Amino acid sequence: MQRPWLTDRIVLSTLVILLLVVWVLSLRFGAIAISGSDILLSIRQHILQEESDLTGRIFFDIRFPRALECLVVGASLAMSGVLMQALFRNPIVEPGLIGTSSGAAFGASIYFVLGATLHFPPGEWGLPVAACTGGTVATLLVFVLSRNRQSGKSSVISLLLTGIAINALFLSGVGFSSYIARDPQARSITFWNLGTLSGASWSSVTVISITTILCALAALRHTRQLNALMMGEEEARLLGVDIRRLQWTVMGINVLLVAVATAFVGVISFVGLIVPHLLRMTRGSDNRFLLISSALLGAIVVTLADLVARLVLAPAELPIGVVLSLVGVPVFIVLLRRTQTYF
Amino acid sequence: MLVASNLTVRVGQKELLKDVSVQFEAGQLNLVIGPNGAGKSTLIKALSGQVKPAAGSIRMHDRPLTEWSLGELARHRAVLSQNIDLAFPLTVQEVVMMGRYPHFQNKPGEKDHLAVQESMHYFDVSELSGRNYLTLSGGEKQRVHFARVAAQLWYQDGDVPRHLLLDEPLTFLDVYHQFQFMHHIRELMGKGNWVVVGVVHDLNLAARFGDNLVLLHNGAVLAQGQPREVLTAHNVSQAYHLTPTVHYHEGVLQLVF
Repeated sequence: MQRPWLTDRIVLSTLVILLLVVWVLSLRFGAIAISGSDILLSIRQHILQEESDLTGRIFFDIRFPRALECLVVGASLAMSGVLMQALFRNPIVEPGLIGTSSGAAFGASIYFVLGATLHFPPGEWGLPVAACTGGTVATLLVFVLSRNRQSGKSSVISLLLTGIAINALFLSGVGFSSYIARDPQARSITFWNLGTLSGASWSSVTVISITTILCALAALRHTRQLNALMMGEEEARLLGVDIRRLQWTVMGINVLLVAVATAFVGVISFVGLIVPHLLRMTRGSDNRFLLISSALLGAIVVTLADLVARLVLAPAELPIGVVLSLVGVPVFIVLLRRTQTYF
Repeated sequence: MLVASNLTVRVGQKELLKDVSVQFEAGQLNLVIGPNGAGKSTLIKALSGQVKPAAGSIRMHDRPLTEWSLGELARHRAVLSQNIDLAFPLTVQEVVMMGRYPHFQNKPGEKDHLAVQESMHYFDVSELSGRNYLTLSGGEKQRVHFARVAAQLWYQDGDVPRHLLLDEPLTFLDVYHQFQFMHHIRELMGKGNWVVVGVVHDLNLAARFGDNLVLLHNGAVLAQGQPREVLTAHNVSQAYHLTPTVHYHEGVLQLVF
């Protein structure tokens, strides 16, 4: 199936157009449909600081930040998929594979249970900090435990296997937390584990945007080294790449991207897996191209999935994780069967 | 100049190289020969710094190898390893551009693009430029890597010689491309200050193109020098357990087994 690849410009401009279309749709539709003129009115009222009606407030306080949060969450999850796959030189590596997601989930579930029992003041930052801490601890554990005692290096296989073990540990921790939790907490743990953007607010959008943009800039500085890594660690070293430093830096970027997004929207899987796959088929694997285009396509996918999650049972909502799994699993299996040359 | 003194390399209990002292000068085509398991690849890996010697030292351009930084090394020394493959699809042009990575910060400059273009032309892979590397044949892939390591050393500043280490560069190549490659390497060496060390299996090819041969056997140097000094019936039968007759055809040494 050797088709000539598309050019960067065609792929990127298609993605930008698609993103605009999808994003406008996600602003318009939801529990209530808001017309284009109402959207413009609401924005104008807000800029002029006039009193706005209910529709205007729904748009500006709920719909708009949620649509923005879809963009940044999608971008950060997809980029973290690209980074992990490049680092492990394996296209089926998922960001959650090295413990980040399960660690973040565990941190959050501990927060839910202990927060309710000990009555400590939760505040706005309690949940994200707990999730980030959990994600960092789990990732560090995987990284440190998989290191070979003699050579001080981590082989990919030992990293992946340690990741499986640590994931199992932290996920059983999540299970235990929801087992001992009272009903309302157990419910929020469950909902959070399936992922949802219903909690989007201006403050969470700001935090995720800042980390996503900083991480993206940092990641773009390492795309050449990650390309060289495709030939293996030895070859990359011969091209002047400090492998150890690259591993730590990319791991750090990945933890930030995944843990911060996970902290606010819960565990959302498959984005980091499917998005880079699709893009590799259009234009190959140059990591600079992949990072930029994955950010765009990740935003498109999450926005679309969230739109579906809002519309199917409207005015009730589905967790976005359910939507993404229902769509993502078949797509992933088709991809696996079609592109076996990559494995 | 690349000099190894009393080099010993150990993996576990096994000594892969025993007290090897060799000297590779600029402007000469240095070829390392020897039977399977003689330590040829280990010597290349030690010379490139991929393997740390248990004893002995290596000096590159009169400086201990350990004092060179990774980046500096990559700008002045290219290594062609065996069995390189890519984990993901890239275009041929992108693979060759990897050779220029040590030379630029964020975006490749004019010189880098030129080096890629010229080295691809030089090794006859220009028309593969936009192809997916993973779909190429073994011989085509090998030529792409020639272009990559050549691009790595194509343009550089300062008067440090370019060091090129080749580990069995001729695998996967047909006879025509083998000769073509050896001619190309000689031609490149004529253009500037190059230190070239290559591992080859074909003794007749080594005799024809090599200026300085190193014959390894069981991790030690059995003989080194000009082809006619090294490729004697005695040395070859000791290393390979096969006794050849040595002929000279138009001044070129030939071994017939």
